[in-house]
Amino acid sequence: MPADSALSLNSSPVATVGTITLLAAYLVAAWTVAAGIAGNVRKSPRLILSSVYGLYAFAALAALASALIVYAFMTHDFSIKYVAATSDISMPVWYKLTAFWGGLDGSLLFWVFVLGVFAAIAVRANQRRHRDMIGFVVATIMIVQLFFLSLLIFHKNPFSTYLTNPPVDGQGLNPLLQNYWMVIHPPSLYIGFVAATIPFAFGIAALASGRLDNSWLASVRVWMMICFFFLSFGLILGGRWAYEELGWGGYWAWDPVENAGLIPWFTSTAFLHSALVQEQRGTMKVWNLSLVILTFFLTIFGTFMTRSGVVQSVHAFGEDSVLALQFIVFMALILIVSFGLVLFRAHRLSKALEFESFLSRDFAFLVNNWILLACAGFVTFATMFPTISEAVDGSRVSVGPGFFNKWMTPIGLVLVALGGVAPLLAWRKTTRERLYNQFLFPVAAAAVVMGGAALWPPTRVLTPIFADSINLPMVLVTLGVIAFAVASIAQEFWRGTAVRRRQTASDPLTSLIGLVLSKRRKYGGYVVHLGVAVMFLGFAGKAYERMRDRTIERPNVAATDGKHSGGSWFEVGGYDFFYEKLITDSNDNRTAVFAQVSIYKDGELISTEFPAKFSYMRSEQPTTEVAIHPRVTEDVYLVLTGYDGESELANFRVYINPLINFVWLGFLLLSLGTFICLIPQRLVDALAPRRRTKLGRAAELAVALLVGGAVTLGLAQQALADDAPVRVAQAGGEHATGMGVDGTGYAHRERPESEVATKLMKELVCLCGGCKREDIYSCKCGYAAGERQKVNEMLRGKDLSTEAGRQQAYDEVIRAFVANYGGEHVLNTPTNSMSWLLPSLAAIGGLGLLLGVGLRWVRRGQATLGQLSAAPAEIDPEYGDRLDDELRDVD
Amino acid sequence: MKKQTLYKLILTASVVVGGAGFLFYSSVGNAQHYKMVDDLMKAPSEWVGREMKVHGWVQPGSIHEEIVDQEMRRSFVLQHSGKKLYVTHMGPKPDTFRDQSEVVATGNVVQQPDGTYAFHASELMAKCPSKYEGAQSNKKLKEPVFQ
Repeated sequence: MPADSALSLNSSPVATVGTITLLAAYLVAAWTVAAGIAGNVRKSPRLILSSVYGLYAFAALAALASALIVYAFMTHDFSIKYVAATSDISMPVWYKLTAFWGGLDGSLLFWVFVLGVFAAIAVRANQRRHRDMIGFVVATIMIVQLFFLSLLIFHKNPFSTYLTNPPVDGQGLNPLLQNYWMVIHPPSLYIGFVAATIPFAFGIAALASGRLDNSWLASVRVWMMICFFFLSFGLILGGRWAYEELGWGGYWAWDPVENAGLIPWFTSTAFLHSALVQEQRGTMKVWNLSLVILTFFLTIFGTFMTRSGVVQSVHAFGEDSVLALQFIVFMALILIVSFGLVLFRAHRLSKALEFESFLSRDFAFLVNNWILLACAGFVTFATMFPTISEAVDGSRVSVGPGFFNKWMTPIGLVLVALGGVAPLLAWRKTTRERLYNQFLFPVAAAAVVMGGAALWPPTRVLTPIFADSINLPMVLVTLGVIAFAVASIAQEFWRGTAVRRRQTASDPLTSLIGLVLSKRRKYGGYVVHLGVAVMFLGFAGKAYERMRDRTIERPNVAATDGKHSGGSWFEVGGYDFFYEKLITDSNDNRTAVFAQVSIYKDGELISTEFPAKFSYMRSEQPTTEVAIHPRVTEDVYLVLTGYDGESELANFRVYINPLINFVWLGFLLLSLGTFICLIPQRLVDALAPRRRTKLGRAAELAVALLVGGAVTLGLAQQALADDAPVRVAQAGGEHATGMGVDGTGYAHRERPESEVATKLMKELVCLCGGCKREDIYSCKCGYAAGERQKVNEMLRGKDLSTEAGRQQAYDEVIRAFVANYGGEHVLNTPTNSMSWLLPSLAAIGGLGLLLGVGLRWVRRGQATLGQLSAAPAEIDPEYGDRLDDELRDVD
Repeated sequence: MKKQTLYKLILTASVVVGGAGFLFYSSVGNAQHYKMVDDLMKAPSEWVGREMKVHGWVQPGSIHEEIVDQEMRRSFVLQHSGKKLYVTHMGPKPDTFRDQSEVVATGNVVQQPDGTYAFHASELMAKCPSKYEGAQSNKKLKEPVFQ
């Protein structure tokens, strides 16, 4: 038994309780796996329930163990090795908390804790819905937990103690990690990694139980989105940390540890797209399951890369061959079992993927998936290149960031372009007219931007892509692609809002909010695309980065020529810098040396900055504290790269980073988009109460976004959200009928006033979205009552005494309804069968939902439905068709 | 197998193989070799003009620095297993760069007018064993004994 094993009893009570907690958790996990599998196989509700409770108990034990280690940090229990290794007495409280995941042992425990919490939420949310597979879900999650827990107990116990006298003080956390971004960056990445386990568990459970319909997809999608968000968040925070803390002027260097987070990001993004194709077309099931498995596998693989020392990296955890072996065995197990199950069920999963046209959204999604997968493959290959090459011929060969950029820049641009193209295409097939109509504006925008930018010579600089022999003006191409994507998305918002305005007769702001809230996944997705396009603008700025090293022998020496040159002056990228003095400042934790530097632009002082070097008491290596002066268009980034305390000589490195703020801005948009996608339906419902003022509506939106931002809450609710659209749609009729909110007795309201009315009402379909195409005569919802009211009102004053008059009135109403809804899908027996084929059932539901939700917004004292029907909105039929087509993907 | 399926398979396979082949081709051009000083000095002429990394220890007393026009120019000798390499560098030095420190220099081998070989480093990285937790790998290479 290893010396640091959990079973070596120790003196610290916290450590003893902690170790016992881990052991108890191990037992609980083992039982839970057995009970979950047996429960589902033998269809025993009691065993399944037992496994679910076991999972909760496990989460509680993991939380207890985490609380104990945090307590040990707070109380400076240096008899625990891990506490002594990663903290010390003088460290601020926040960093003591950070120290929990600052080292390998603690990060593994943190992993177990987060997965425990996530699993409890996911199982709680899906327990009733997926009763016949929840046992397998629990078992899969707990097998993963068992793996990490066994690492903790047998190899990396965070509670192991010193056998001899404990040290008086700890060694302290690596100073590079004592940064506020580091408080949130690693947990964010871990959370992203851990969140990938939940979709995996559902995928495996679906395969094991044989429930291979689309029902598991909804639960999985939400968790994949959470995984996507936290991976994005973790990656960007890591970038920001590197930018502020490492002092090399950049935010991304294709370091193996960064790549470890990026690779599953690609596959999770691919899944979020291909899941839509499965929803729409019922195909790509094997593909989607494979993506879920692959994403999970890659999170484990990423952990393996960074924890086992298999790749060299500045911030890998170091070499550990025992850990490496354990990971390899576990990874092999994942692949064999998962893909074994896929093969086992393959006959029930495969459905040929057929495309009607290359100019369809389906195909665009497929291309997107191929490219994302190629990205994942490329980054894996290039990251592992040194390892592969060392294994092949023993020589250590690496590829630098330049190689990554040569490949990833063009591939990334294709993805951004696809993000602009796909929304313009229809599912199945895009007609020629639509193609022209849709692409005209974005293509024109791209042409104008590229034409304008080409007038400025620096944009025409050639950059190599793929290989050194292929050179293209990549900045120009990037600008064009970004313009295209942004214009395409703007056009979608513009047209969607316009259609909604006509349908609801509300003001643009209300329409926009209503549009986004009613189709959150679609428009949230567009906002994400927009965010990525904006980030690429920031990436393009990298091409114009300027960097200079300057050594100034003495501070505060006036310029030799009376201007800003010579002496302590230096110039970089149009800015003049004056080195004023060197300041030393010490406290218990560190000694800091600051250089005071004034920055001038066009002769005027714009800022005084203090780049510094910190020497921590417990670390022999000083850290570089960068000074960043942010401007709208660029950052002035100043690094004190070295100094001489006696002569006050200072070395500076200055970077001018144009457009860099677009990277962060783009990420904010990406977050906003993800939050919109994650807003639960019940929240939208809750927001429906009247608000008469714009302020009130703005407040509603703010609340929606804020609450949507509380992701953990959001995910729980989203996972629980069931058939809520029906409720919205039905409630949407309240206004139309002027009835109470309770919604009772709609079936008896607005009954037909004549025979023609009866006939019409039996012909017209209720488009509320929840009625499965019942006619408005028999549908009991409030929306149908509203529609009946329309029919009755339209017939009033018409001559219904003669057969010809009745027929004329009948035709008029039918025409009005067809025009109003932009298609014959509103009819039970459409005259044109082709027009009926196109919009599917779901599309009608979607349009009904759009209208239903819209009606709620209309209640803000706007036009009445009566007026609406009197003046049917003229919806561009082409766009109406497309809306129908797209509305199928309504939540 | 239907003919059409066969075509699809051939097309897919050729795209994948072609892509992978091109990837390998382009990676060879961009590969950055990593050599110990003695390894490099066996046949330095082979490496002229190729960006690479060289690993060695700073010979005590060899560091020479001068400031020319606000730029710090630095030269030193990197050695390992009795072989030596003259390195020039401009810009910031790592905090732990000093006599006997273990250094990985990134740059190019150039041939001097006198026929000897020197290394123009664009970046210096000083290895620091205690920087990261458990960074045992850095200790694998035993520091040589300086005469």
